[in-house]
Amino acid sequence: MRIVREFSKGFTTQLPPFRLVLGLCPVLAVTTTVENGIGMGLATTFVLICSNVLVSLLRKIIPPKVRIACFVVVIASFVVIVEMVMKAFFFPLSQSLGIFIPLIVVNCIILGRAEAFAAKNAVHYAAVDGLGIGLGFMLSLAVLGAVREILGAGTFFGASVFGSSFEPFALFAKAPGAFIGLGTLLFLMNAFDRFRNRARQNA
Amino acid sequence: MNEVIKMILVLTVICLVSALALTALNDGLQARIAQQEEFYVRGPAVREVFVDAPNDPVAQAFTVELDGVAWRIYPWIENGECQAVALEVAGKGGYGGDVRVITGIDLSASRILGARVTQHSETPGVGTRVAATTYMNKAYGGLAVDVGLTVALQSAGGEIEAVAGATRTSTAVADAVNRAVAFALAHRDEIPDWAREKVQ
Repeated sequence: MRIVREFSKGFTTQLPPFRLVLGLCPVLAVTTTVENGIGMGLATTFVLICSNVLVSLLRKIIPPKVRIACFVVVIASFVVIVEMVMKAFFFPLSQSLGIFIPLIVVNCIILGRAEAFAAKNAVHYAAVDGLGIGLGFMLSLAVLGAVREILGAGTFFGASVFGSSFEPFALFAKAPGAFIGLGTLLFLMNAFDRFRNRARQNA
Repeated sequence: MNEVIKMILVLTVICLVSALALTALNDGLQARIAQQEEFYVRGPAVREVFVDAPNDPVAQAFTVELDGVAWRIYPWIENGECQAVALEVAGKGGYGGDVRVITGIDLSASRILGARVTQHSETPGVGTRVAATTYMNKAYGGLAVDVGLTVALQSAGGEIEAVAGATRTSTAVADAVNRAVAFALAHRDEIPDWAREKVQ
């Protein structure tokens, strides 16, 4: 089924931060906690689905020469909507994500999906593609956020994990910890792939 | 020619629809966002500036309109009299636009009780250092003020120390504090009357 494939590719071959290595700015910047990671992931998923749907609907109307400008206006509008809704209903989250919510506008995953997928495919495929890629992105942010929160602060969703005797690695709460965490996760995923391919060849 | 017109038309229509939708949403959510900001940003800042206030300055805040400008005043009420006020004022000249600062001013003793940055768009790690509590307390906590005396950085002839490398942000904060002080001292005699009239 094509629709299932378009959805699941967001978790497998096209997992944004780990497979495509795209959208690294929010990945590195906001993943200090699981909650931030999920919040950012959900915001991005919403923008991704909405922009994919709208771009796909308008794909026959938008003249090719101004397509990027049109996509950016569509994406920016949804980002502002997310920003305002978040401020009105999840104010503490919008404070901790700060400037990175408006920066979703320039997240290359979203423009990339609009240009590479939504502008060429029917609405239902575009929506499912946005959902899959968005959830894959959120999952990646949540995993990295969990690693950094557990190691860097000794908590998970704000609840203490190791008890008071645990001395947190302050490094993991800072920017270098994001690079180290991302690098280690990338290494583990690639090592797993290589291991699996070798096992398959031997079989 | 036809193609050019179509490009202009499509882009214009998309922008127009976007602008309309966002304006509508903004109108709908503005009140709620302001309420959230009061609860999460201005409220805590006022309480930090007015640590020992015997009343609840946030719950008793009132708005005064002067020359078409609305001033939101957080009063410190002791023995039935308004002794000090906190105001949020935008300072001009920040690196990323206005810097909004809450300043608490003791009216009878003519000194600043404290100041806190509530909203800014300064560079993280550079301009944001100005908003740090330690700097704000050191620079503005207990500062004596007077009518006609400008609160300004040392480089501008005042007595406030700037944060190294963040002169523009420091200037904007000093400007905001100066505006708040100027307003509070200029209306020093009227403020207790306003408070009596507007606070139940």
